[in-house]
Amino acid sequence: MVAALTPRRVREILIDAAQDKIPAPPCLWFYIVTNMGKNTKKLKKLLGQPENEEPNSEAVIPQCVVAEAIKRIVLGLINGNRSNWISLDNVKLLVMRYAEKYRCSYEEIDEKAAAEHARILAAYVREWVRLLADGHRTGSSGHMTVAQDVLHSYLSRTRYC
Amino acid sequence: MSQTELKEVPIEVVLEEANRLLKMAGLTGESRFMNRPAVVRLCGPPVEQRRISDADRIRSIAKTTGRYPYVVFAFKGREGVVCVPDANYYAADGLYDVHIVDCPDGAVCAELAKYIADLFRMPKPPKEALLRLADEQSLCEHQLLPPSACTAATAPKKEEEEHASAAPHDAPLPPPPPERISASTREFVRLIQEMAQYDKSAKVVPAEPPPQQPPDLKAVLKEHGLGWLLPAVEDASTASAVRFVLENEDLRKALQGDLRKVILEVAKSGAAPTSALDEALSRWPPRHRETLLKLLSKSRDLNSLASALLQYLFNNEHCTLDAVQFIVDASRNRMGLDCEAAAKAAQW
Repeated sequence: MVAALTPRRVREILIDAAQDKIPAPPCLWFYIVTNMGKNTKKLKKLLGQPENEEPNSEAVIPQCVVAEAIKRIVLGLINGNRSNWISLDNVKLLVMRYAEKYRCSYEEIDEKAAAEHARILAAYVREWVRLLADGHRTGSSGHMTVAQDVLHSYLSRTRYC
Repeated sequence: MSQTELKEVPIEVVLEEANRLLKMAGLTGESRFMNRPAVVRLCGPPVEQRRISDADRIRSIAKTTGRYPYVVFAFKGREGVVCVPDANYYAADGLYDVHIVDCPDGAVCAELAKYIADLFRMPKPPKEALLRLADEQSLCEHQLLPPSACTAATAPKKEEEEHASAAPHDAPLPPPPPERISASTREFVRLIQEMAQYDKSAKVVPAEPPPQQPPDLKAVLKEHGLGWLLPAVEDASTASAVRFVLENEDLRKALQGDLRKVILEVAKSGAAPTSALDEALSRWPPRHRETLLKLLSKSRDLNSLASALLQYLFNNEHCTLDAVQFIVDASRNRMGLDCEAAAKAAQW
């Protein structure tokens, strides 16, 4: 049985990982994306917590960790030395490509979760593209395409937690 | 397909991306140019009722850019062809750049049709069109249909199943199936636990303490008003004795007072005023007074008392009266000596 880890403790661990205070395997970011939001109940069960322990508490996975996760997923897929554009239109596809690249465990149900959560993650992606795309040299906001090196440079400097 | 909105991204880039998506999905096909009637024949009757007529704008684009204004992706499934965009949007006559994709797996093709429509910023194919590629169940499994449509489709089946299972009315209800935990959730919790262990062990094992620097005993002595003892702290044993003095507050205070003068006077001239000694002894700390009285009773004279006292204080056999006197003389010449060296020097 899983040892009792409180949601608060899990949040602390995730934030520490997002801040690079403790080492995190690459698949953690994929699992964050698939388990964010509505899987909180399941997580609490697995963590040995009653579901109604913190009725009004925030989710187990903090928002900043979710943002950090999609940032690291995209960073894991792009090449900072290449200036060609990358399409960020399909966030679910990006997430699944990352999972394939790092051989993360997932099932069909996780793929569905990734598809559901892609809409939320796309908000972050849109924001990056809006900031970086100039329509000519570095990318286009019309189709969420952006130069890889520009995106890499921006994401490397961005911290969400 | 109209690319009137695609002012920022060249059509080649979008096409390349669409082809990349097809390649990633392992789908093959061919690309050919067709005129409008041929495309309509290939794609079949339009599914959607709405019509967008922007023929004039498309013509102007074709004229100014020299590009073909229409790109069509035709997904050939088992029960028909789904075109992106739908035939309703074919507004102008001319050559169409048609990409025909063979679909062994209808659900994958349906998913790609939606992606590509999104990529070209065209309306996504409706349910009726997607049903040409795959059945409703597999579309629902791939989340290609809205959840409401899927629940409506599966609800009657569920009801049937419920009726079937509820045949023996008196039978107790079966326990609810255990909630399914996906692979990623299991892995996520496992990773969290590993990281918690790492975090815990990192916190339990303290970092190696920095190597303790030996305290600058001379500075400490000066700070405590015992600078006069400096010549006697050169060797480690004397230093530890001095530290003992420093740690005993009452002893330190006594050494700062009149006794210092007495000892130094004894060390210098071999004798000290008795009144001064009495006064100093009266201020001697009570818990050391007994030792002092013992030393006093054993001492032949004041010199031997001073010598024994220094030995008691410094716990060093070399710190005899002669040695201390030598140290005091040497300190006047700014020479630092320990008791041992001073004792040897005093013997010469």
